[in-house]
Amino acid sequence: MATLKTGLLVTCDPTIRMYLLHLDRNDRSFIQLEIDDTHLLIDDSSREYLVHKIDELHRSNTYILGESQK
Amino acid sequence: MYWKEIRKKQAGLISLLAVKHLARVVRPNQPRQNVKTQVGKSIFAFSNLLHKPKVQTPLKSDSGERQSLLAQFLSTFGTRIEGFYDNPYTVRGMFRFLTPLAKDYVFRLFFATSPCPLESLKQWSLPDPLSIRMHAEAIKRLDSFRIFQVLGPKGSKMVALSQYFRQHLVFALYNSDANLPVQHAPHHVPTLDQLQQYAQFRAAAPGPLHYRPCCLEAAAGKKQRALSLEDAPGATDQVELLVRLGLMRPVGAVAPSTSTATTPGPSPAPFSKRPAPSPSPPPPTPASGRYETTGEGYQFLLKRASTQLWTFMISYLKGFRVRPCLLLPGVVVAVWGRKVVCAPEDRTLVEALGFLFRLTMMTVGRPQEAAALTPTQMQVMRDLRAFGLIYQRKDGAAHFIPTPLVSVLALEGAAAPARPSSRPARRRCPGAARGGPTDLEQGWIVVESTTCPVPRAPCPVPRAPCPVPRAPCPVPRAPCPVPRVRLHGQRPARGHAWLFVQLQYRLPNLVVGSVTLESVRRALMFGITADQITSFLYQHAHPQQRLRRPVIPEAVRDQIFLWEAERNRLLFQRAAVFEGLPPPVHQAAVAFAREQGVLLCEVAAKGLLVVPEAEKGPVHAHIVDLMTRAAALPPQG
Repeated sequence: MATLKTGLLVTCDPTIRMYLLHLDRNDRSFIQLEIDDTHLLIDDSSREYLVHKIDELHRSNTYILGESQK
Repeated sequence: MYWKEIRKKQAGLISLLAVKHLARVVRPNQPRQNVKTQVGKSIFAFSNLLHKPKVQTPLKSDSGERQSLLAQFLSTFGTRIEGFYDNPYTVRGMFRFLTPLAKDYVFRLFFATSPCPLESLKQWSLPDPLSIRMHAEAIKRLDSFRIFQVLGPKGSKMVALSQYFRQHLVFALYNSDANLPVQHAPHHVPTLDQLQQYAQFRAAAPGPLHYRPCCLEAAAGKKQRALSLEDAPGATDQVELLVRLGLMRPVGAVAPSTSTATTPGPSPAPFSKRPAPSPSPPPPTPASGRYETTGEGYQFLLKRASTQLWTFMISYLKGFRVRPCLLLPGVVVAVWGRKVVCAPEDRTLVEALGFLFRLTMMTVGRPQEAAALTPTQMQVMRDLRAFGLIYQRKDGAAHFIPTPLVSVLALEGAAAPARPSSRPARRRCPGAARGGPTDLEQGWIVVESTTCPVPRAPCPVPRAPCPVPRAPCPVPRAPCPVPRVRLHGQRPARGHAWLFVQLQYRLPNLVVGSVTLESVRRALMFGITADQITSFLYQHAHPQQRLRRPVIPEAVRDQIFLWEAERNRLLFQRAAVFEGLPPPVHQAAVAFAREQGVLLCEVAAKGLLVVPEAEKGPVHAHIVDLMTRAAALPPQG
């Protein structure tokens, strides 16, 4: 049976996709449909949350100058 | 042939105008040699007016940005713009805003006695794509400013120069002096340095520019994210202005996604003591009285001072339009045989805009007679004092003096108007005259990559590990493996480079900082783009740095763009997904979507098809059609 869904299409690389799947399972469910390796359909309201989470991930991976001297 | 004749006439008239101009300048008893020099000077002045010397443009989009600011503002008036050219200074100011090619076209049409076919204008450009694009841009700009008038039916359009524009352009050619005559010289005239200090004081005291360095910076600072009105008493007007421009917002308010600094909403004149008659709603006052800088605010900080000032000016003019106290009766004017009525509020705006343009042409530091101003102009002059553009000893004084800030307003592209300046910094940097920060935005930037040689001892730069893996340096002794930015000048922080630079230390005339992943990421989170950062570095490059090719080291530039790309690893888009389509329908639907150019992705195994939500209508109809047809067919086998 054919169906029609609307939502927010996320285009990303496979690495980030794995991170999003991890978030979906462990933190908060937001994925509506896994389309393929680089595309996901998510809830409209999750955009800010994802941007925030990705920023957090980057921050944890960033070496901050001068922090090691403290 | 026709155009050749016009070109000849044009050359003839230029020298004629020069000689006529000379006739007024040269006294009869002057020695012959002096006359020759003056002829040379006058012709030089006119040829300068026509063909400005090509200068290095500091920022490719900046001039265009101010043009579009003004064009956007003027486009709200539709055909009424023609009435705006009923002022020689507006005409001259608008002429300055045009690109060199558009200026050339204006002069070509200047000598055409009758309207020319639009088709024949295409012959003016060379057939290569770049020339055609520049030609199209020039024509579009001239049309949007209504300097061209397009007449006739669609098939055979004719183009002519706007009547007022033509009329006042002659005046602009004849009268290069925009100063107001002074009958009684004032006793005390402040020096240029004093005026400079005054303008800077105004920029650091109540006034909208105050909120460039103060409000926006304070709110943009890392520790103090929000500005409280209690910290800045008497700043309500200015904060309101910034909120209206979308540069700040009350804490907790949702950022408007579409509003930008270039499309400010209607705002009443912010510096009028009188209550503004505009019924525009006041900005929402948060209970905490705290405001924060928006993404547009951060981007605004990185723009050139002249663009910032023009944003404020246009906002001011928008508010000026609705003042009823200065309304004059409507004036009927004839343009190309049509009757155009200048609306009463337009009339005052025409006068205000004309005065603003005239101000940009006045000599900085020379006293002007205030009594020669009309009531409207007087009102504008008083309001502009709050912006620091004008110095007046006291309210109601007989003279007013344009401050050096005026030249920032007049700055077009890189061609700063000649202005007496005796600042030693300018003399040391000969490149300063060819574009770069003005006195008011002092500070040069030198960007060095990791691979540039640095003296080993005594090393002023602390050792720091590389934030990202890099290729080994060709100079093994380079002790600082991060892109470094050196900021020269007395007040380098004025350049707002701190938005994306991690400052390391400050010397009397030098500030050293690093562009690190963290600092750039912070800027990206504020909404600043990598393109803006590199443009800013380019625009404020030190004259010596400007001589390098490329101006900004490729390693630094590419790294900033890579950091931006890293952050934009997620792309969001509203989409509609068709799921579970039978294989034949899926195949036909994918072919249809691909043909329409709306296919985002498809998975044949799951029968999935994704299209943008806005485009789903035709695809949906097509799929329904396919499904009905498939159902109508008898089952095979």
